Amino acid sequence: MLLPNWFLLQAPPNLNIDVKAWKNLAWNRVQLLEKLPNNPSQVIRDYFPSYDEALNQIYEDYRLGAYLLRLVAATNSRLESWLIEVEGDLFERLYYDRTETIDEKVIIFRQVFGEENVLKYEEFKLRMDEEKNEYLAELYQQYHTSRSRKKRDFLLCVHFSKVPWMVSKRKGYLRKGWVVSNEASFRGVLKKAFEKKLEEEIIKSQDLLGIREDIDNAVQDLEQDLSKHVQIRSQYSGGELEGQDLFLHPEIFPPCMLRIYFEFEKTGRLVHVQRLQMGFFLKRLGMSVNEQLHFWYDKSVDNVGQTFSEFQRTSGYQIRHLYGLEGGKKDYNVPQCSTIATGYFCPFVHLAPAVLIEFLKENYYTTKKKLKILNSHLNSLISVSSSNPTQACSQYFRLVYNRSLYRKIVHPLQWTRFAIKIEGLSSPQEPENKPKEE
Amino acid sequence: MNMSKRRIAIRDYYATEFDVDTLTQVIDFSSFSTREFGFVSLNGKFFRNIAFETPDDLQDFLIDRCPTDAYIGAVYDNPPSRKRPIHTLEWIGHELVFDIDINDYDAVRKYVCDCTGAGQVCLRCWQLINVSISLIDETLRRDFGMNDIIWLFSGRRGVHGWVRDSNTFDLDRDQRQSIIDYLSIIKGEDETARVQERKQLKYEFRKRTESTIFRYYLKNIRRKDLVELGLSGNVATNTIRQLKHQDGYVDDNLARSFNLSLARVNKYDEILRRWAPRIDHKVTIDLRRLLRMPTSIHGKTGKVARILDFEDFFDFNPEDEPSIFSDIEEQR
Ligand SMILES: [Zn+2]
Repeated sequence: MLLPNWFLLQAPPNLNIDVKAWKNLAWNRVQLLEKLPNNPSQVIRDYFPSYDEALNQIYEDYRLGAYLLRLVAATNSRLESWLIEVEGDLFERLYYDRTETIDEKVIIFRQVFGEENVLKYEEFKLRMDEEKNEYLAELYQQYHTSRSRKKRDFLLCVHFSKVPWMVSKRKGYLRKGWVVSNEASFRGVLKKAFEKKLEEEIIKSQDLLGIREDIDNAVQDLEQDLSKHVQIRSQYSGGELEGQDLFLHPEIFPPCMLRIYFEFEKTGRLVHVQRLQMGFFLKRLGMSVNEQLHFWYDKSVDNVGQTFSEFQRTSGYQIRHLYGLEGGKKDYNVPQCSTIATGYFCPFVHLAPAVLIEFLKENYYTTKKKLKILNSHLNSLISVSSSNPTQACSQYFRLVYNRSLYRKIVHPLQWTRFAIKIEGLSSPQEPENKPKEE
Repeated sequence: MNMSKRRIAIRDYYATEFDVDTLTQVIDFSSFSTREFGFVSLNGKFFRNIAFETPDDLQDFLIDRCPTDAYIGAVYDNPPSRKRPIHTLEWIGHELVFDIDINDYDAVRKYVCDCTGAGQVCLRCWQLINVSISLIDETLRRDFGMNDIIWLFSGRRGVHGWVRDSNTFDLDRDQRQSIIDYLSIIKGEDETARVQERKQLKYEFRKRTESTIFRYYLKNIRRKDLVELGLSGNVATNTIRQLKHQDGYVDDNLARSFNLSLARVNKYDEILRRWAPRIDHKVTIDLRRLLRMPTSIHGKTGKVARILDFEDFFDFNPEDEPSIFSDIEEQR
């Protein structure tokens, strides 16, 4: 079984190509990546026809184009984060639309998680010599009888160390170090792992730079053109926020950030991605690096006995990283809602309904009247929460502030920006607040 | 006890009883020379960033300096030293470790025994620790596929679990945290701790947790505990009589009928809450943590942080562990 031809992480076998033609291939890739969000299935149909041997040349061209973009990304950190995000989206879509067989899916899993970290269910069964019956009965019952069978779903096993999020949440069954679950439940972590792998590939591709002048020139040219280009079309970053010390007002935090904030207040610690999510957010609320260092130092329980300067040395790296002062030197934005839903924390997606209801009722609500209105809408809210979290979130905003929104909330900072206006926290330089639209 | 007597007791222990080779049961000697060690000296000063070329050098150091406490840390790319402290070195790995301390049970052990405060621990509340060992050990083996797990008395009022499987050595913080999350059946701390919802616990894990907890619980139960839970005097007396009759052995029938009685007074989850493992997660996720050196002396108690055998999981009594200091006291 071969790797599906659209999976292009390996470097091209040879680079004997006219530099101008090569740049064109890279621009074609850019075009494809930019079209994707608007009409994904159309793009996949047009650019990635189903299997046909005759099409191999197309895929080799794609590989060359994608590789040149990686070389460019290796020289520019903003382009790097852009590329990782859009290639991640494309990967997700292609995996969904263009892997037909179980074998193909398993190959992709192995590419992304590492050969030795993925087992087919049959292989797993062979390894479980003892205790076999005991283990497998429950699994079998769970996945081979009801819903999942119909949807061409199947069981897959990934080593627990590769999918810590699933271990934490007890997704799937953990047996002898393997997380056994239906393939669909791995998709979120598969995309994340792909993005991580792509980042590694970008770093690796640096080795090729500084060897051939023609390649270096091509990369340099493209870097210049592309950074202008991507600047205009870069993803929606949530816009700018105006206001003083906004981070002192949790009441303007969107539900995701508020929940994380409370969790941190209560327990003094957060899992890595939530720490990142909160860190990006506080940064965009105007917290300085130093304020953030103190924020995490004061509240964290993991630094007992550590002095502030020790803390700065150890955990400070991560925080400075958020500000683009370390490591890849990227100036990170708060991720948008769709990214948060798959890779970070969104209460509408990640909280159990009962817990979510409790959370929604407890917060933001100061008056009985508002609470009454909320209660009457809770069911409809909960019913769309996991399938359409942004709709649920927008609906919730309307209930909290009794305001209609002219657009759906697709980014956490949108919530905050609207809330700032309503709560009258904008900075004094701003023109007079518009009258409330009751 | 004055300093020189302590010094002599410690020196005698490390010179005659301590065998540095027993450390191979816990750490891998192949990376010995780049492993961090830490010590508390006789006058109470704490030192870390120390490395030894060979295990014998370590033993010589222990005999020569007589530290009251000795600790083992992570392995680095180069030997840690005062000139090259650990944060300037590349971290290579650290055994996966678990720390269970009776102090983390203070909110619930009042239901089990009369111990109070930091100093006290008895055979009865130690059962709370035993349940945790038993559950964590079994879950690591069966669910996580780990095979090489050692449990140590921490020398005072807790235990340390060391997982030596080589594929756990380089697990990062998030990976270690995920194991803690998986093992935790209660959320929150102290009195506000709550048992997680049933459906969040996989069937087999839940079954294992419940049966282990109830096995230990019933073995140690007193009539007054049952009455405290709200069971009628009759049911309480009968349960105790049956247990006596079966010599403390809890068979399925007894467990079932007892669980029914508990369910009737709505106390099933309460028992799980009280007896659920409480792991100090900070120790597990701190990759550079120093942990008491196996078979070293605990400076406050004079007891040896010894490796526990399987039988110890049932009748280990920290009170019965000999102290090298009391030996000296008696002799003189
Ligand atoms: Zn006690």
